[in-house]
Amino acid sequence: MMYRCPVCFSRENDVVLFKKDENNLYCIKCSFNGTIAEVEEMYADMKKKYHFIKKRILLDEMRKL
Amino acid sequence: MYLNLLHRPVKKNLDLFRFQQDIAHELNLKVTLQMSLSSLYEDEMVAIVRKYSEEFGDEIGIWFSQFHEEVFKDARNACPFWLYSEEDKREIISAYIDRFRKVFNCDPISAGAYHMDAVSIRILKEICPSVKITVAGCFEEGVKVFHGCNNSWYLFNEGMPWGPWYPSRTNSLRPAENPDEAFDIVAVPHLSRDLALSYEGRNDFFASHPANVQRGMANEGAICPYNFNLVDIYRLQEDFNNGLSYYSVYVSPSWLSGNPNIQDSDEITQKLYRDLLEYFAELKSKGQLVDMYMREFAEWFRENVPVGKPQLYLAKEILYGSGKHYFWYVDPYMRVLIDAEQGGSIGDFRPYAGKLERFTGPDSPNLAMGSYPYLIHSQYRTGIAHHYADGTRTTLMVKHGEETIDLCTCRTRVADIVTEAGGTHMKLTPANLTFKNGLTVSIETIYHFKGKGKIIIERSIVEMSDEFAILEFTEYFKGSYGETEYPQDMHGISLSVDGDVKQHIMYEYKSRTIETENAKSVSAVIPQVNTEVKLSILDKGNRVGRAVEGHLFNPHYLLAVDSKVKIGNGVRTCLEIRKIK
Repeated sequence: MMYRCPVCFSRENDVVLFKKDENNLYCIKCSFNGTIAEVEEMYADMKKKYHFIKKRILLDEMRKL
Repeated sequence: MYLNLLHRPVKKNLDLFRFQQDIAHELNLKVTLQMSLSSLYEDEMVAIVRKYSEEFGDEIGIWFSQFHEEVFKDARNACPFWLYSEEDKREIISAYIDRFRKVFNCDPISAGAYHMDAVSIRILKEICPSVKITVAGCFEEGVKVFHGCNNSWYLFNEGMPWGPWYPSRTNSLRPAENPDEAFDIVAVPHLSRDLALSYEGRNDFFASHPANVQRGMANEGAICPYNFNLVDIYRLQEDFNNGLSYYSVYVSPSWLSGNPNIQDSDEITQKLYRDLLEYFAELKSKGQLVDMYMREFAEWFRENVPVGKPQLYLAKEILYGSGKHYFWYVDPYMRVLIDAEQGGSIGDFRPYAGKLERFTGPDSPNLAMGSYPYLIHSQYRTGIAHHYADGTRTTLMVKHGEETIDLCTCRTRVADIVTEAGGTHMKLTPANLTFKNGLTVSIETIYHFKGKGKIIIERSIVEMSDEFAILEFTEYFKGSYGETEYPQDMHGISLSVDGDVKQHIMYEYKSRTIETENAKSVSAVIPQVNTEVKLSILDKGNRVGRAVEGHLFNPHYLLAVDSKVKIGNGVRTCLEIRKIK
């Protein structure tokens, strides 16, 4: 799997990270570098903005929304 | 809801294409297959597609793709279809149609490209009159996707309708006003987008495309209710459009495995695609969805939706949980977005009334820029002030004593939408204002969309803590024009006031104000978009009308009308746009 730079993604830009060494990735467009674990943690942080990410809203509920 | 499900046969992703097809057929969903020129030259793909058509009835159409090595042997072959010259477009379309006829011994009914400009549709209809429907654009694909793809994705077709439309002969993004002006074709969007989040951010994150939603990271692994919620918010539109809602799903097989923009396993990606199609099958089994081949939808649309009919969309934000409402209205004269979160401010305004002609290609003065220009875009051009002056938007300024409250700071919701012979009426919940001196006021706004380029904006005080207080309302329209976030040259624009004083100035970036008592109207003529925009006063009594020129750090124009208002009185202003030449 490839990873996108979490810093660039937070600016809504898709930039695929390059492999720096065995454990580290780096971004060619910004100064981000970090481990896969750090990248995934930042992804998880970004998803926190979607308060309804797990919420199913049925049609009748939509009408009241 | 009416559904078009499209698949694209691609040899290098044959297993993934078969995966998509197998699910659709297992669920008994109708599929339209759109073939690129490359696939029309691949005997194996042709045989596979023909078999699908014979066995399941799949419709076969054509997809004007990004690669044309069969047409051009030079570097041109890797340019997307919509960016060729008219001469090259004709050559490409001829090659596609010739090959399709040779392979299938018939003419296609459906076609598609990410952007089908008016030139392309005209040529297509000349060469192959049988084509009745085409994918003609990607809703709000433009600046934000360009930035999001490292400033490399040259698809600019912002300002188009979100649902099916009859494209005009001079600008395919503009809905035709009458049958004479329309191509004999139905245009549909490439995908159904989220009409709240496509305005605020990247349209390609939030669409009827599960892998795009993964690209936006709006899923938690295989859990992604957003895919179903988006379907249902489109179903909600049946309430406002005489039962019509349209949904289009068109996922290229390459999205289903190994896509660099997706950080989920292929199993998850493929499950989300299956889940979406299973939801369609469930809705279909309940009689809540009708799946159609594209040709069937074209026939249905022609029989049931007359040219020029407005379309409405109530966008409720369904991912962040913000509770925001946006209301969209489109007809042959305008596309407008009302931002209820900002007190009912116009956040996006496209003046189709100007009938701006536009096509894309190296032979077009607009080159790659296919978007229909805005007069207002509050995301690109500042909107409410955050840093320096405000930018393009509308609002109501409410003054009491020395204090002024901007209605954009008041959250409202869409309370009611009614359409009758006289137009569409959209009422907002009252905006509640509290002045520092303790005065509280509730102000209700109703937008009356009258057609022919006219919107009547009605403001009234429905409650006030001091029934004798007198407020000053300023109806406020701050405009510009453009397609991106950067300002355009405002020279040539003229501003006028008409009342006790009739005055007229040409825009010279000098920050001048012209003003009149007993105003009848204030207006701006923007020749760059063939449009006059005017605020006309509909009530009796003295109104002060004002037009204000900007400067290079505030490159906009302001039209404003001041009124004194008491409880029980309303203010009605007509916002009108019309063609100037």
